[in-house]
Amino acid sequence: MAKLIESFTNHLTNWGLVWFCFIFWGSIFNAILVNTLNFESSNIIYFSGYALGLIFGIFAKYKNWGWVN
Amino acid sequence: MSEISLNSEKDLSIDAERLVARTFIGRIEWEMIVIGLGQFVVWLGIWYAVLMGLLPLWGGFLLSTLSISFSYLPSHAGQHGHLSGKYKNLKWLNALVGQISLIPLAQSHHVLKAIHMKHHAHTNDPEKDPDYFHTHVDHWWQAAINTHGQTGTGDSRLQKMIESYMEEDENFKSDIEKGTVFTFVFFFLQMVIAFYFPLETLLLWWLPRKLVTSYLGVIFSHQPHKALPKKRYKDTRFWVNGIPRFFNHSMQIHVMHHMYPKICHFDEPKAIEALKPFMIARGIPGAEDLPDKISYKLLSYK
Repeated sequence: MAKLIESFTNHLTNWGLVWFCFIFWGSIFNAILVNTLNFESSNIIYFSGYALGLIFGIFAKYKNWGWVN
Repeated sequence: MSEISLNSEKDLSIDAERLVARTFIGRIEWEMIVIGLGQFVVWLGIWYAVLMGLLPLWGGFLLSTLSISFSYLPSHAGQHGHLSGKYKNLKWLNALVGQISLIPLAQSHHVLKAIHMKHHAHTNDPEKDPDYFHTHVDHWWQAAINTHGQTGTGDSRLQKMIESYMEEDENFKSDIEKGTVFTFVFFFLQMVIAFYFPLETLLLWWLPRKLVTSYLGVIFSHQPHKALPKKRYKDTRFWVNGIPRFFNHSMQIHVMHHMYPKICHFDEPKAIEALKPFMIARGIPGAEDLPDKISYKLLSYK
């Protein structure tokens, strides 16, 4: 159990920012896209919002942008 | 007037100074308990009003930013034990109220406490003061940006400092470890809430707390300490900015806090009035220009 917690903590330390951007910023980008493009919710809109979040997260990780979370 | 002639009129020794300061130490700062819990309830109320359509999102954003600007000081009071005062059986109040108060800022009371105690122990030391990287900058906007390095993983210099403290100080390590639990909780909570209420989370939580963090960096840290050396009585200044101190959370008189951190925030004006001769004698920056009466109005130089 302790090993599991340790590996989970290590994963979050390394990839937490990317996960955060994927879910947190992905949800926000998605909402902005849905509102500004005035489309009915569709899979493409959903995917593009979260894809943007993921890209933002990878960028933030390599730029060490702690402020995004 | 020389120190010797001042001493001839009044005892300005360190012992006399401590004796005066001690009269302001020990009470429970109930005002901070009310503010800490109150602003949290107000913040929840803003969420409720926005989600129920009673308040527009932009209005919620403005109110939330204002409300969150009150969330740090109660935790700060808890970090210094002001919420329990001299009553040891009430020590739990410091962490409980401190942590509840910090929920809108998504910060851990224990982590901030550990870092803040190091700031007091090593104020303005470039090697040891965790606030140094946003206090000792040339412009206020640099402080507003750099202060975010303290709340994320952004500043590698600060991370190195924290790692070094973790190795050498067991109490610091223990506080950071306790606080990490809350850091994880906030990390997940924000993602979950953003999934269901994305724009509300952005404008009622994330953006307001970022703006407030910048405000704290400039008003609570940079202005009182900028360009000052690392020495007791010399490391913090009185300052004015043309705005009544009430609207700066009284940080214009932050120097009183660094002189005697155990004095409650709301007792600082009275303590300054009593300690003014000592402050002038010690050469505290700005002390000689203080008015005799510290009111809630503009703290202006004579």
